[in-house]
Amino acid sequence: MSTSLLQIDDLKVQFKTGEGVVPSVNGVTFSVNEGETVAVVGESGCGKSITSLSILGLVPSPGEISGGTIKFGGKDLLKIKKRELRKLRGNDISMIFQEPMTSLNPVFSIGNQIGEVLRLHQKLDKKQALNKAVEMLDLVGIPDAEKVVSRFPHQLSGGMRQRVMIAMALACNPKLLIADEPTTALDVTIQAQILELIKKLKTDFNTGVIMITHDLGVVAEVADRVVVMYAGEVVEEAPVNELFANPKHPYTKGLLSSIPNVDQVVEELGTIEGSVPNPLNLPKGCKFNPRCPLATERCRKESPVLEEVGPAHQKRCFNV
Amino acid sequence: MKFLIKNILRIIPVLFIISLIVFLLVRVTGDPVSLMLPETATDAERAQLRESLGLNDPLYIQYFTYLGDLITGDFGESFRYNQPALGLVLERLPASFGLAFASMLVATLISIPLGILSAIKRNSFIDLFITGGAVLGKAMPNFWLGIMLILLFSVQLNIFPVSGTGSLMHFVLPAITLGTAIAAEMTRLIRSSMLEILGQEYIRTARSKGLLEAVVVNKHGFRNALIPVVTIMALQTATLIGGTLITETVFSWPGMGQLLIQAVNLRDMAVVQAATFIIALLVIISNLLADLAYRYLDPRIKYD
Amino acid sequence: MRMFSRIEVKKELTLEETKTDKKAYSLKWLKVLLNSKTGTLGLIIVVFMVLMAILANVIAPHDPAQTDVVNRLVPPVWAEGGNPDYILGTDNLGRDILSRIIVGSRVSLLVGISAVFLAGAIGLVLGLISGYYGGFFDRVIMRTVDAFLAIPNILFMLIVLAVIGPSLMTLIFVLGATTWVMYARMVRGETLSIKERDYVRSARAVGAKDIRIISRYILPNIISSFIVIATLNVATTIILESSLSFLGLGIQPPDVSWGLMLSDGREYLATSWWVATFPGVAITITVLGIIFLGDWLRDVLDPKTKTN
Ligand SMILES: Nc1ncnc2c1ncn2[C@@H]1O[C@H](COP(=O)(O)OP(=O)(O)OP(=O)(O)O)[C@@H](O)[C@H]1O
Ligand SMILES: [Mg+2]
Repeated sequence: MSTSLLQIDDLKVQFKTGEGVVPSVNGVTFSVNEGETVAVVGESGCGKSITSLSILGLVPSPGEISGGTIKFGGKDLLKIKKRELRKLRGNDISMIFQEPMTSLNPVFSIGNQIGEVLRLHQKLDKKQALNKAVEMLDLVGIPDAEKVVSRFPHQLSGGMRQRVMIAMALACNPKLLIADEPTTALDVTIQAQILELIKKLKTDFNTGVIMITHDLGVVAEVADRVVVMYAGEVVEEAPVNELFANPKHPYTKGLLSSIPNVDQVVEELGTIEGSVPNPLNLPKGCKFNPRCPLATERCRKESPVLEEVGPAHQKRCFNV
Repeated sequence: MKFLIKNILRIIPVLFIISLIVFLLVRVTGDPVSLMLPETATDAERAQLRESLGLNDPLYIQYFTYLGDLITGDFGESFRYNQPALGLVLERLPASFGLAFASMLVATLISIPLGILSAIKRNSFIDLFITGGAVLGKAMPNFWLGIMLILLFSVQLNIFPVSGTGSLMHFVLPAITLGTAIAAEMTRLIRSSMLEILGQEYIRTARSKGLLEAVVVNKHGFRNALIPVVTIMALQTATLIGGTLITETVFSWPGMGQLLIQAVNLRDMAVVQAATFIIALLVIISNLLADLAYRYLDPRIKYD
Repeated sequence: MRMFSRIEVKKELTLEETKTDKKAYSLKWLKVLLNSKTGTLGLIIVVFMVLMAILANVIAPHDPAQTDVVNRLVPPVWAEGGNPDYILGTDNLGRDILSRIIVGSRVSLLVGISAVFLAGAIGLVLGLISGYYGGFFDRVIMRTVDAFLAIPNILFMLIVLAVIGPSLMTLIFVLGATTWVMYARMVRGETLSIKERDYVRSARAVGAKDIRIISRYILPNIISSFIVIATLNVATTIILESSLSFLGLGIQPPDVSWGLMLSDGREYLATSWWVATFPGVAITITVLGIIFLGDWLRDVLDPKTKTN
């Protein structure tokens, strides 16, 4: 039986801006087991990155976590001391960021940046850290790793930089890897290689993975379970096959119809009508109602809750 | 290397223009003879000098003669000291360097911690205090700050000497005076540079590694923030030297600045010109060094 | 030597836009101004200084040149031995320091503002020529800019003053003729980028005259940055003026200037602190006011160059 690794419960994050309080995450709940890959999907701005940054306590100001718990190894990450959290960062939990081009420090060499984590958490000396860095670069499939360690980020392509980020994230064998759209910025072949890599590492090291993406193709490729987010909430959660076969929430259906399918001629490339609601002015009732084909009077007044519709399958909708 | 040569070549037209400007100012706007001779000189002496300076030649010939003299380092003789002007200026250079160096040290010691602090405590009381101080430092005329420091520490408290050189104590007030002016500018620069850098994604990456916040700020942040600061500071070298001129006068510091101001008052043009060229050369060299430093600090700029 | 051109992307502003709703616009500004504490303070200080300069003869309690041998070096009124006739005390010749500060504000503002006008005019013309026509002119002008940057302002001024001899006009001329460089660089940079915009290109393609392109497209786009730089430059110029006067190379007696007062005061530091203190306070407050106003203008007019 797989054991639970991370349990996020009713997480709330808000941004206090000049124009008002932006509730960007509104009670998100989901969990990740050891060796399991959970995909988090949803349109741009639905709070995927902010949710994942909350886990490491890296929500940028003026954002602040205003409620909920994030349990990891029996401790609530939102309550533990900063020092304890720092011990987890990069060691037990590490993260690959959305922007490979700008996530590496331009003035330090690759070896220095990977070695830094190892020196910090595994107390390696400079030389050992460098050797391990070469090993890690090898592992993520960078050719000529001995040379690449002494290069600077600007000398590498986007795909290479993302691999470096992955090497850095995996350097200390984390129990949980958070990958925030690790492939969005890359071209298709490199995208496939990187997904392959993440899949392999998961099976080799029994790492739990949170894979954030708004690309359902990626989901189909790597995920065990899928969490669908809309406007800061989880609207549906299910095992990957179940979700693709039997989506419940109208939003999920909309998303699914937007992947061009190889088997069938795609008639409606189903981008969902309407646009993401302004977080400063969220609709009353179900947040999806203005764009929902099934919306009723009730949807405009009451907010649905997340409820079970099948084994390990939950949805937040009145009508299905 | 190619870069160095290219930049050294670029200096030449600049020096050329400076020589032209100085030439025009000295030879055309004023009467060089009356500028170069004391007021007591006789008419015969004037005529002789006029002839020996070639002032009866056409202007462009005069200019080329002048340029030829400059290239050989001949700026003429100071009539006050009866010595070659260039030697006089070079003799005073170490004292000025000492002061400039001490001031930069003071400025760096003040501005780096304060600039970083006000950036990480953005919009706090401390930030307000530091940025307020920086604006005040800019608004105060530097020589007045010097006078006020003398008033407080020399006249009232009798801790530091009023003027002159000789001991380390002599350095304190002039260095603080000039250092404050530079620090005011630098603090502001470091603050805004740090603010920009701290919002970058690689800072978040550094935090996600579990590094101490101090390491994130001082290693990953400051090292990047330094790049624009160094470049902009280099452009301030001219200001620094300008500040040295006045500070030296306030504290009777026996440097080049004091010599120059004296020379201006006495219209000792040979010394004025020599000092001008030396200062221009220093500014240009420091800009070149800054460019090198910039290349060293920022690996994104390739060495040719 | 690296040539910096400021970030050359800028909000586009055409003449039409600047003209629309001028009144509503200025009302809005006033509101924004009053919202900024330092901006308000700056405005108050500047208005106060300007009024003081204009009304100097009316409000000064004494003739600034009036000596009073009996009351030499009288301390300010609140200090021991102060005299209520001389609120800020008197100098070594028994002249009233308050009156001299009030009258001295004239020189500071006059020199500061005139020199900035002169520098702005030179910089604008050279920057436009350099940026708009490019080529040989551009190279000559930019190398001249380099030359000016390699010589500290104050040094340039010293050379000219040594040659021509100090006077009020010389001072304005010298300050103007040495600080044009920053305007020229800004104008050149902006002109270069605006010149390449599509609508300007098409205007040129259909044969619009240079003068029309400059006045219709280029000037409206640089005016904001220009005002900001000019305002802050008044502050720098006032400091430079006082420095030169302090060195004995600026304003000459019997004219009154804050810098000159400071150089008098320096001689009497040991006994009479007030002579050197108050003129410096006056300079600092004035400059502070102008900087506050200038920073506020920058925030409002020129958000791209905002410092933080
Ligand atoms: N610095 C900020 N200031 C104000 N609001 C913010 C800020 N950062 C994020 N938000 C809010 O948080 C919401 C969620 O942002 P988040 O970055 O998590 O979106 P995302 O789902 O990762 O989108 P994407 O797919 O584009 O990466 C945004 O809609 C935005 O309203
Ligand atoms: Mg995101």
